[in-house]
Amino acid sequence: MLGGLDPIIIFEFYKKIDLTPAGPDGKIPVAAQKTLQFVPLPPIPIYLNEQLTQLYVDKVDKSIDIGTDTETFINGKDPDILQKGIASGLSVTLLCKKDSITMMILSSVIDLIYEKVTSKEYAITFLYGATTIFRAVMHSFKISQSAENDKMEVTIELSRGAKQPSPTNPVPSVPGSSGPIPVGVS
Amino acid sequence: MIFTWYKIFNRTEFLALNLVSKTYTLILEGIGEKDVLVTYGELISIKYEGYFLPLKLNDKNPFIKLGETETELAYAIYEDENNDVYLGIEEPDEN
Repeated sequence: MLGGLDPIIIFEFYKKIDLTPAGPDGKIPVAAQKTLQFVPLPPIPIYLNEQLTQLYVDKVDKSIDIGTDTETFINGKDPDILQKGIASGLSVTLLCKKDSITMMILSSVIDLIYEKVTSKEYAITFLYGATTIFRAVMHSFKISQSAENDKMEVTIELSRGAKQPSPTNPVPSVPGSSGPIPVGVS
Repeated sequence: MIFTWYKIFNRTEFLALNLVSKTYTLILEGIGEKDVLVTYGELISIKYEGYFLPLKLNDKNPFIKLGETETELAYAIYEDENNDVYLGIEEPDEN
């Protein structure tokens, strides 16, 4: 059953390491900028199999949301269609019993993720047949249970995030001023 | 000696980064995109086009590194009262 047929959710955690070659008040000039590196920790796989882990995948929804604006013109020309990606994600609904140990582990792992959301030191991969998402980010997590039975319903929403966000900084332009010392300085 | 001055960085902001060195990539007016390396050793210094300019070396502000030949331009580094640090490049003599 573990030959890739069962759905699996894999949690990956990273540790941000500062590899700058000198201490904060190092006096030795080193031709390097602050260097940060993500060091991966061992991943945590959780198989979603009723017999093995008492977690059962009830429903998986994949959705892509695109914002579309139509711009019409005063001269009656063909309208322009402007599109922008809003979200691409996956919603997984799991069922389990209230006393499921795996559910408690899953919930604890989600709590770990909550602390690392801003530092981006985590990623989630979900594989379920043709419905897969790699290195996603957590969008939401919800557990609901009722007093009428011993069933718990868990909803995990994953969103396709930027894998390695690298903001592009425009190069600033510096005007020159002429004189024996900078202009405007006594 | 007349220089063209370019503001490269602010010393207070640089020290707050707790970095030993940082490269500023800037488009210098009339020159183009250049990298200026700022290092924090005994003094704060900048390295531009292979020239090393320590800020306030021997308490000289601006500190000027004269050209070694007649055709070589002089370079300077200057810190103003707002802790802004400027790179000065000698204006070539047109005569």
